[in-house]
Amino acid sequence: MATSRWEYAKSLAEQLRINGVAEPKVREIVAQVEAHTRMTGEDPVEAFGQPVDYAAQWQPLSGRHLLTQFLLGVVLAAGIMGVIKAVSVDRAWADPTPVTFDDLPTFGVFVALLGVLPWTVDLFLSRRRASRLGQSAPGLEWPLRWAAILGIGAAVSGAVWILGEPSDGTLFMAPRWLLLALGLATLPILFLAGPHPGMDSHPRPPGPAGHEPSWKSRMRRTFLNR
Amino acid sequence: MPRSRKAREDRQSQWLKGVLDLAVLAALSREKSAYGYTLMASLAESGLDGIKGGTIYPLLSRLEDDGLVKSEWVTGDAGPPRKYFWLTPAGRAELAAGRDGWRAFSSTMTTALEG
Repeated sequence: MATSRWEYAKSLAEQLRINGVAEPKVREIVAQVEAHTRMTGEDPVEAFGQPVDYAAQWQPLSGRHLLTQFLLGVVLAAGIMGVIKAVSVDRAWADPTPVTFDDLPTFGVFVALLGVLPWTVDLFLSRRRASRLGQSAPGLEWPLRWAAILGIGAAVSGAVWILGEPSDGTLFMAPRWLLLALGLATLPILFLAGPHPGMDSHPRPPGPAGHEPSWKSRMRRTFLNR
Repeated sequence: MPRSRKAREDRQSQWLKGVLDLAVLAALSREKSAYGYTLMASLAESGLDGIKGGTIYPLLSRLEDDGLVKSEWVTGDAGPPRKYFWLTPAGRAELAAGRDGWRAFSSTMTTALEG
């Protein structure tokens, strides 16, 4: 089965980004593949191998990069929780605000959405897609996603149950302004954190060195995966 | 495929892995300046056909990282932009050293194999 050049380029770009390749280099690598296959008429999988394998030739995914991305997700989750807590309580800005045991499940959900799911289930599904381009369609993805969400929900519930609720339900106290400030301080992580599985937008052609995407483009990619 | 034939092909593949960078430097030396496809055509003309794009481009990138080649994207009137490569002085020196090394190695191996 012939592989679409466009699909190959998107899939390769996604795998390179997952592995931590810088965006200017991603643009170059993908442009080379497109120029080569356009000129030779070769099938991209035939000429370069499956996207997951070709991306690994440039830079394999390291455990350090994986852990860093996961931890950035956890810190971002904590920051979002801080902002939510700070704007939702009805207290003076200088008053100590309790972060309670009841906040843990919400925090767990954010950690799952921002740190765990992207770098476990999404990563697995992305690798699976990118290792069989031009072959039979991979299996359904939604059963695995739902199984993972239920599994993480059970793990969070279990962890909360094992930790046990403190006598007054309070984990720690912090001034409301401090929660907001710390929360807002984590927002730059949205830019620091690299692309994650699912970001398979087609890269722009290589341009002049140092010409990076605008902040609008980066925000759009961060939130909309496009 | 008979096992002995496969073993022979694997051996040749291993040999090629060890010297493909020199073959690419030599092809660039012949062509003066080339992009991936013309470089592969040049290698094929010298008998090294069947080398895939998936092998050549990462190799060119490593050679560039090592300062042995330089490159530039060129946008033509028609078609996609192409990345042209050419040898640096360090690349020419590496090629000269590689040629000397290969002559010595092949002479040693010829003696070892043919007595």
